[in-house]
Amino acid sequence: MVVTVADLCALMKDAGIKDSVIAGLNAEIPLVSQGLDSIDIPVLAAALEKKYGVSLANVDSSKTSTLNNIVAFLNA
Amino acid sequence: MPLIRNAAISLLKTHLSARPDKTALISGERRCSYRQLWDYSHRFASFLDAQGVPSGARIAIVLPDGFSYYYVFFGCVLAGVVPVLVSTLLSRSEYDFILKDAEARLLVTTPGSPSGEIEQEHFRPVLVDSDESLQRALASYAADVVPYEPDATDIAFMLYSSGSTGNPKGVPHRHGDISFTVETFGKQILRLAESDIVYSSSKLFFAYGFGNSLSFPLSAGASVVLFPDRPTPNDVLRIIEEYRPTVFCGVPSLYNLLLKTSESASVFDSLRLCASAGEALPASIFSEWKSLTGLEIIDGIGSTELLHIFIANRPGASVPGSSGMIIPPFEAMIVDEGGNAVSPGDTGELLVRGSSGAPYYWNRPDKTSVTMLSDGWIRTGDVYRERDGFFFHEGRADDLFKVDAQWVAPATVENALRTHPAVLECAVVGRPVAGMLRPCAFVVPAPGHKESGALIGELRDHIRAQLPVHMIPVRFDFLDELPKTSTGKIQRFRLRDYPE
Repeated sequence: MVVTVADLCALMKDAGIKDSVIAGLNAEIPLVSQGLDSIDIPVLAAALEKKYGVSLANVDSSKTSTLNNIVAFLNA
Repeated sequence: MPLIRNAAISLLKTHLSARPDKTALISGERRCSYRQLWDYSHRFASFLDAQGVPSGARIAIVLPDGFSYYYVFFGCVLAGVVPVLVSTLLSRSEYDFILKDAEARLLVTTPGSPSGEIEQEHFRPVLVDSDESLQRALASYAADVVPYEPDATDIAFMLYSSGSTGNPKGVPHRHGDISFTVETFGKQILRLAESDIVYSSSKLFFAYGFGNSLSFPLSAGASVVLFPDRPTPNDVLRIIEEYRPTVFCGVPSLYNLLLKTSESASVFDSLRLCASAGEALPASIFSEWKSLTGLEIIDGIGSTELLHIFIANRPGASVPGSSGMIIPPFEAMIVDEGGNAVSPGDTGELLVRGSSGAPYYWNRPDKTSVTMLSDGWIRTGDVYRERDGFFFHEGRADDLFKVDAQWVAPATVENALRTHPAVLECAVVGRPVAGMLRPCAFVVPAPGHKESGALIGELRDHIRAQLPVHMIPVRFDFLDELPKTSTGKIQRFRLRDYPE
């Protein structure tokens, strides 16, 4: 199944990240530059690991820096 | 080696002349007097003699709380046979391990217990259908045995400590250990009188329940309410309403559930004292309970190795959120990882020394050398800090974890989370997220609340308002119930690998 940016936004919402943060996200820009704080980043990582059964332990951070990068990583 | 008094004689003999017909035990509609308790305990000792069970042999007791438990326990102690108190809630493989580890010569259990299915070379289990059937079976045995005269090093009985990982460990105690706990927590904190009626939700096979339902009330000539099953909050309310105990001993998770279950405070009006142990009592539960009932919950910490509570609050002077002060002549010391005493106010592992300390773990020299230190100090595995003589629990040494190089005590986060109305119960553990340990929360939602992104965001904000950022859970899982031991302690270690 192909993962989309919309799927990631829904995942973030279910993980408790605020709508106001999610609504303004640009899929091309690093998440840390767009208002996600030091908790939102590991919240997203935990949600990705739980939902998609992946481990991000040894994944280069560049692969998860933007929504588009995450989509590409999950669909690879 | 000088002889000391047999523990059964110490606890029971004085009542035979002072109050033979006083009710010692209450179970349902039935009552057991001190004379009856003395009589059947001696008859069980005669039965052991007739079976040729020698002093020092081990007998496993896998029985629910009831009169039979006392007959068998005291009968063993009178005969110098070592009763091994084993939980009724274990699996067949766990019973298999314990029976073999203790080299049990005999097993006393109920029909249907998985412990009775285990084939042993030496015995067939003694099956106890009911207190009445055991009484009938013992009627033909003599009630006038000569009690075994122990020396100070003789093992009187043994408990099994479940621990969080690995096989359970046998924790032997000597005859004098019971009287030491009576002189400390019993007389200094509970201060039981003959008129007291005690009900403990924790069972006799746990050190906490053993003291609450056996050592303390029987030493005082008081009465004990017994309930054979694992009580639900509604069972506890019914028992308190029906038997009107004056002292109730529970654990924090049960107090929490009672607060959520009770519709009226009047059910508690027979109580003069409530005690808690097993895990640290959150200040919020202390305050809510006091608002509801007008009573303090006297929180303390003890261990199977020390047999009962060694640090406790004093009635009328509780400090909410603290385990209280050392109960002399127990001694306490907080040490760093090198075993050196920490500066006042700093955290470290709590060591305790006292005469009721188990001398060793049964068959486990490896664990003994780690926990029982050569100068009598026993490691508790609990992390504490001390301020003005009061000890504050920071978590189990095994439960603490570091996030961004800063310690997180799960209980601190849980206490904050529990104050949110949507949270019925919760547990926090450190789990790897993207390779780094992070706080992760497990929540049992309160009635009317369910999992949603909005609620998770709200819970996170609730924590954020109270605690530093590194303590905010990054993941929330909603469960119908938390994994717990039979005493109600949350088994955090089982959550670290959730879902298994």
